[in-house]
Order: sequence, then C-alpha cells, then structure tokens
Amino acid sequence: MSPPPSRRRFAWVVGALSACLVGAWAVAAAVGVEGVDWGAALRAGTADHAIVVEARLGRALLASVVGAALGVAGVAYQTLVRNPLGDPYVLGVSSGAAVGAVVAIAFAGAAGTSLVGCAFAGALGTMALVYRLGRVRGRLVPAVALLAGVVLNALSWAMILTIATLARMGTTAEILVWLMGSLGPPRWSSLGLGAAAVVAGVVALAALAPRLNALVLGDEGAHSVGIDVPRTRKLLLVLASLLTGVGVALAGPIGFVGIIVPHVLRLVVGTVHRLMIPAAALGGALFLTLADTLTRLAFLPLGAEPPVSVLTALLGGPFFLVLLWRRRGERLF
Amino acid sequence: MHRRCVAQVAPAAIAALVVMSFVGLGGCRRAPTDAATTDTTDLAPGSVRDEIGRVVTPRALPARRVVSLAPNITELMFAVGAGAQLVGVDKYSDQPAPEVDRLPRVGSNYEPSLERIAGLAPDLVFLSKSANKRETAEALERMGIPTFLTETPGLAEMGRTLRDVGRLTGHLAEAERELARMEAGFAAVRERTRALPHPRVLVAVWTQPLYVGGRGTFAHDLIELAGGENVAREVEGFVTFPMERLLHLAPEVIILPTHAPETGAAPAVAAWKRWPTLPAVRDGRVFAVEDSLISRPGARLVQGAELLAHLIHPELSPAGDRDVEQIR
Repeated sequence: MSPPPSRRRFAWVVGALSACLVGAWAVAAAVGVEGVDWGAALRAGTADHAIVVEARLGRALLASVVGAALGVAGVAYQTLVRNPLGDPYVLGVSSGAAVGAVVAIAFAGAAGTSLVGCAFAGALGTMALVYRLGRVRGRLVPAVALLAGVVLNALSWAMILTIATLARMGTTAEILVWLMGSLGPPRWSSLGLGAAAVVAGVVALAALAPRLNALVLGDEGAHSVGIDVPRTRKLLLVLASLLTGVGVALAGPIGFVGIIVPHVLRLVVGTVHRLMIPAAALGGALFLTLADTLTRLAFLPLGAEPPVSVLTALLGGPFFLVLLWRRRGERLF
Repeated sequence: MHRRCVAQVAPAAIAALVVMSFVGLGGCRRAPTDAATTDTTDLAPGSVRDEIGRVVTPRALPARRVVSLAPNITELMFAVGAGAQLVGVDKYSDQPAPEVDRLPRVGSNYEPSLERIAGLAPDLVFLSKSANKRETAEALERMGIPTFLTETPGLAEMGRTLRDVGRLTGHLAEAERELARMEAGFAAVRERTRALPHPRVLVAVWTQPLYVGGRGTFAHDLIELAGGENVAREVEGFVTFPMERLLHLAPEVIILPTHAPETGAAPAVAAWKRWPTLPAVRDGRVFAVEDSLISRPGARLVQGAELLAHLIHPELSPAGDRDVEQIR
C-alpha cells in the first residue's frame, strides 16, 4: 500500500485541479458560436446575459456536476470489482439507471425527483446484481462481474427499447432524445439538487477512503487489517450507484468519463483514495466541462451540435483500447 | 446534414428515429429522383413506374385492395375518395379519424408485419420513401406483392404523389380536384399574408436538446408561405441548434410541433418561459401545434398553412384553439 499523501501534496493536487476547473468555467463562459457584447452581458435581462449565464455557464456547471459524479463513480466501481475496467457504462450500471429513468419518463411524466429516484433505483439494482453474480464461492471474481455487466447492459437496452416501442409516439421521441446523452441549459433547481447529492456522495466516499485502500488488497487482506469487508462493499455499492443515478438522470447515459478520468489521474496522483476521490471529482468535472464546450463549438464545422456522449465515447473508446493493449502482459481479469 | 430516415434498433440510428417520429413520418427531404413517373409508354400494359423509377405491376388496375404503410398516403387515399379500397394501414396512420380507426393495422412503418400484409391479399402496397425502408418494399416484392414507392420531399412534389395515388386507385379525377383545392388554399394563404410584415419564426421540434426545423422541411415551406421568416433557415432539415445563437436570432413566434397538443403540450410550452429575453416568450407567442398538420405531406397541409398564418399574423383573425396550445 502506498503511504498516505502528505497534506502538502493533497493541497497541491486539489488546488491545481480546482484552479483548472474554474479556468474551464471561464473558458466555457467566454467561447461559443456567437459573438457576445460583454457590456450587455453584464446587465440582466439582455440576450447576451442569457447567453453567458444560462446557455454557457449553466450548462458548464451541469457538465461539472455530471462529470464529478461519473468520475468518482468510476473510482468506486474500479475498487469494488478490483479491476481497472470498472466503469458505470461498462458495468451496465448506466444502462440500469437509464431503464429507471425511461420508466419514469414513460409512466411518471419525467418529473425531476421521480427521474432521479428511478435512475438511482435502476443503478443500484443493476450493480447489486453485477456484484452478486460476480461472487463465486464467496469471492468476487472481476472477470465474472464484468461479464455480468455486459449481459445486464444488453438486457437493459432490450427493456428500454421495449418501453420505447410500446410508448406513445411523443413519449418514444422523448425517450430516444434523452438516451442520446446530452447536456443543455439546466433548470437551476434540478442542478442544485443534483449538485447537493453529488457533493454528499463524494464526501461520504472520501470519508471511506482508508477502507477503500484496504479493499484494493483483496478480501482477506482487507479483513486482516480490521475492515468489515461486506459492510464496506455495500456502502461503496450504494454510494457509487447514487452518483451514477444522479449523473444519468441529469444528462442521460454518458460513457467513459469513469474510465478516462481515474486512469489519467492515477498517473499523476497515485492510487491512494484519500487523494483519488476528490481528484476524480474535480477531474471528472473538468473533463466533461471541456468536452461539452468542444461539443458546443462543433456546431461551427458540423452545422449541428452532436450530443456530448459522442465526444466522450470518441475519446474514451480508443483510450479504453489503449489501456487494454498496454496492460496485455498483466493479469487484468 | 444528410439524414437517414430509416430506423434501426441501434443507438447510432436513434437520432434518425427521433427525427422521423417528429416529422410526421414523411418530411425527409432529398432531391427528387428524376424519373418520368407518369410515363408508361415504354412499359407493358398494366405496369407503371413508381416515384423512384421502379417498374410496378399491380395485381389489378385500378387497385381494389390497397395497404398503406405511410400516414400521408392513408390521408391522400381518403382525400381522393379511395378510402374504401384500403384494407390495412400502418400503426401511425391516425387521419382521417375516425374512419381510419376501423382499418386493420399491419405494424410500424419501419418494421411492418409482412405476413399480416400478405394475409390481406392486397393488389398494391403504397410506401413512402421517407417513412419506410426500401428493404420492406423489396421483401414484399419477393413475396409476390406489388409495391409502389412515393417520394414527396416538398410542396412541389405533392401533386405528383396525389395524382399517382388517384390514378392507381381509379380516382384520378378526384385527385385533380383535390390538388386544385390544395393549390387554391395555398394561394389564398400566400395572398393574405404577402403584404404583411414577416415576423421571425422558429420551429422547435425539441427543446432540450434544441432541435429546429431548417430549410428543406415542410414546416419551413409553410412558414415562408404563411408570411413568416424562418430564423433557422441557415441549417437544413431537423438538426440540433445552439441556444446562444437562437437567443441572438430573437424569434418573435415559436412553433412547437407536437403530437396531440391538446393533451399534455403545456410543459413543453412552459419550458420556454426560462428564456424571457426572446420576443416570442415575452409576448406569449409560443404555440404547440399538431405536428402532422405542418410536417406530413398529406391532405391537411392547407389547414396547417392557414393555422400558421393565423399564429404568425394575429391581425388576420383569432386562430381556433383546437390545434394549438399557447404559452400562458
């Protein structure tokens, strides 16, 4: 196990990432497809003010909340299944959350709270299944858990498409648009609610950090240093699913943030969770904010704005493959 | 932007499905095929050329038993007085109600039940290039069922499709009358609005993410015809559009094409209240409008044009609120 990070190193990493995030917000507010009259932008009630505050900054803040949730969920899942390929998307948890959200859209009219609640329930249910199926003779076998995730992913998609097929035409369109996974100017109330849930989840996971370090050693190892392994795993599972559920409810399924962010950060900050969890939150927020800003600018060459999930997948897919390739000598599973 | 109008069960095609379900299953625009669709001189008797140039030999001419796989064709069949010859329709054919409700359903546009169609023993199956898959027509042909593909990318091609439906069902005279009625209706709308100021109009098929109707959509053609100026004419088809550009374009009227706006369009309309700097929002001129009236190349486009004219120009006369949900 790595030694605990020094207070100074912690302050340095968190400070630098926070500064980058604030910088990213400034960039997001400053750039777009339209020229802005900054004098007018300072006065509320003008179109330029709405552009900067609602269309750009509001959206960047939403990207930050979702990115933080998915980045930290990635760290949690990687620890839970003891595998670097653990990611809400890969493990089928995002799709499980999407099933919940789609049920909410189709049957409850997609009110904010029911959407988050159903997405959380879907994420939790799927991850509980993945985890249960991944346990062979009392031990978690990462390969089995990942395979279970792949199958549950397919099952979830089948359920989503069934609901979409049976729904009224307008509802079908609503479901399919939502499934594309995109960020837009958020309602400030749902942004606040989501931010509160994500901060709570991240703080709770950070508090569990010492136990998470022990979990990396494996069940026996963790047990030998005095950790209540089943209880810790359950907590981890619930918190990670909460984060995934909130992220999916706010923006639809967006993939690969949970893979890219933790792996890049591990190169810089190491594997100690006390540092990894806040770093993944800030890094996830930074990554998705920048990705979404690029998405907005993509209108200029493309003549249409792609969903941000396209960009994260285009970046994340190759990254995932490189990761597999470079680790080919090691025992991944 | 090129759009495929065929939906497949794959995430990559979801966008296409979304767009298709929002354009009344018939608004996909491509340059019309240069086929002499009405020229039958080089063909065997009993054969015709369809609108994409295929040679079709209906089991009977005029066709007495017809299946329609596109909502706009179903409307046109009734409009030319051939409704009684329909023996089956796709599940999205909802007009004219209630007559159409009595007809057997053969499934969705993009994956209809071929065996159900075969069981209806049609003389001819009508498909629309934008609402149906080419593969469906090919599979039906292999089963010995003649298929006629229509292609109606814009107002200019309405006459061709209407005449083809009329001719193949033995109602050509009625089709000509219906066409004259439509053209007179469009001309009347154009005449009444031509001298009026042309306000900036947005067609938003989706609010979050923002999908707008650009050039090459029926909604665009109807807005221009009804004395409006489409703010999104820089883009083509139904595409995502940056909110910030829209805030600068400042539309004075916003049209939300909606399925059955009288039931549940209120949230979509209310969602625009968060953009109070838009003149349309400030002045309460955000309207949910029945989608099929303004984006389906069927028999009710004139009705759609008249409705838009009233919404864009309130000075003309108050619009009937049957097809509209207005911002409050």
